[in-house]
Amino acid sequence: MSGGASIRLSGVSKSFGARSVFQGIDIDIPTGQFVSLIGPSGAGKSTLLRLIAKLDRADSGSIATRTADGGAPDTRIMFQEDRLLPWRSVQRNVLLGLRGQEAHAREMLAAVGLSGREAEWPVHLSGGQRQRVALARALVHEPDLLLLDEPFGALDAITRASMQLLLESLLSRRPRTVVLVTHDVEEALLLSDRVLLLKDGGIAQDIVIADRRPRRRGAPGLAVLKEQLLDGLIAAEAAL
Amino acid sequence: MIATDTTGSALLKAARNWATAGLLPWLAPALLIAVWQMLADSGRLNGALPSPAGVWRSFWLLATQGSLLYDVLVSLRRVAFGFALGASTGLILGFLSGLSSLAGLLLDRTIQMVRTIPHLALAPLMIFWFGIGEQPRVLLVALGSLFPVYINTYSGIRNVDPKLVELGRSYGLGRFGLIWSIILPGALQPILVGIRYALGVAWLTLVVGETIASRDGIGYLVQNAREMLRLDIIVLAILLYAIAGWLADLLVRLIERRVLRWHPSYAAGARS
Repeated sequence: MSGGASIRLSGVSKSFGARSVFQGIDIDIPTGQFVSLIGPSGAGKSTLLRLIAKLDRADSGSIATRTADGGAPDTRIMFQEDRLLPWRSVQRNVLLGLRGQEAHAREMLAAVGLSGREAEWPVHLSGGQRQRVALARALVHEPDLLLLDEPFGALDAITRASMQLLLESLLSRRPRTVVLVTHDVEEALLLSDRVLLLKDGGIAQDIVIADRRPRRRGAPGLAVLKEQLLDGLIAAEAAL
Repeated sequence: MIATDTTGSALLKAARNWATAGLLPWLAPALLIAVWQMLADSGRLNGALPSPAGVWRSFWLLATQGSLLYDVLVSLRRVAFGFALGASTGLILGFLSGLSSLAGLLLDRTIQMVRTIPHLALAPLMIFWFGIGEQPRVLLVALGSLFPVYINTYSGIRNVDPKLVELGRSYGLGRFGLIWSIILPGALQPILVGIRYALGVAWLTLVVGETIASRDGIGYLVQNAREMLRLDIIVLAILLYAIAGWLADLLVRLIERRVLRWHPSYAAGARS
């Protein structure tokens, strides 16, 4: 049981048709770090995540993910849409790709506040509850590497805030490497060890946040960083 | 006291709802038969149509003294064999073209072209090739049921949400796991629609197939009755076809309700 995975991207390029998203980008993410990727729409945040998840392939360069003992990390990804299988009960959704771990799934569902709902169909859940199931499904396997593609982007503000708290408490039980794509600067500052601002196929800002977690939204140190990141975002948006 | 009252009236209400929903759909057919019987009794039909009672009498006579049961079973067997052959072929071909783009390229155009031939027009050819035994009838039914199942299976598989397939893949499902856990359940609704439609076509094909040189089956009954001007038996045969078709459809709807119970429009209580 290792506590995460390291990610190393070197010289990664990716283009869709004539549009180049990255040209020779280098990123190093050490084991156990929680990294947020922010940037204007079209800056390639999701593309980067999909490359790390091996859902898409880079045109050139290399992407290496490995656990502390050098093995291939167990990777789980969660999307903005819950992507629950409507024909499977809540519990069987959590068990997707697993065998005989019912007790573990029930435990995980209890951890996201859905005990007693195991047998229900996903259509009977609210958007926030469905996303909780998706989170339980991503975490049930205790992945070394958790990839989150705007997981709370479609939720209302209150649900989003409670999901952020939930994610933080679930991650504190066992450290792992997390890459979060988000539009929400505050979310990035609240949750991550490090924020990367993407711009023009490269990294415009690389900020390390040393504050201990759990953090308070209004903390003065975060306010300064928020200002700095928002300025960077606006500049990047204008450059598009 | 009040509590029992409420549950009592709630129970009564549920019973009334059930009776309404269960009985109301039968009102129009019952009225139709009553009007039909009255018209026949008043002599206004002039023998153009037998009375419901007359049809019932001939049913009873044929069932107890004739070969009705045998003929019905023969027809059922033809539909069952033909449908099983056609639907399974359609299912297999649909899965092949839906899952593999190579198979899709190889098969789909050809099948879509053959589909445009009205399969009933092949009846004379079938009789020329296979004689007047069972084969031409069963093959015609098979041919008729193949295409609805094929088309719905193919498009059902092609329309499975690619995001769910991607999710399954990234959660470690293999090829078989993807088909079993994501593609098949995702395509099941259109596949069942295709099967329901194919069953209708199968019965229709049988009617035509059995009126050509048959020696048994419901169609033989009709042919015989026409030669002897027995309108009551002809009407009886038509009703038998209708009842058989309705029962087959009912069966598929029960299956639908079971395997699609996760789907809001098929959940228990929802009507299709």
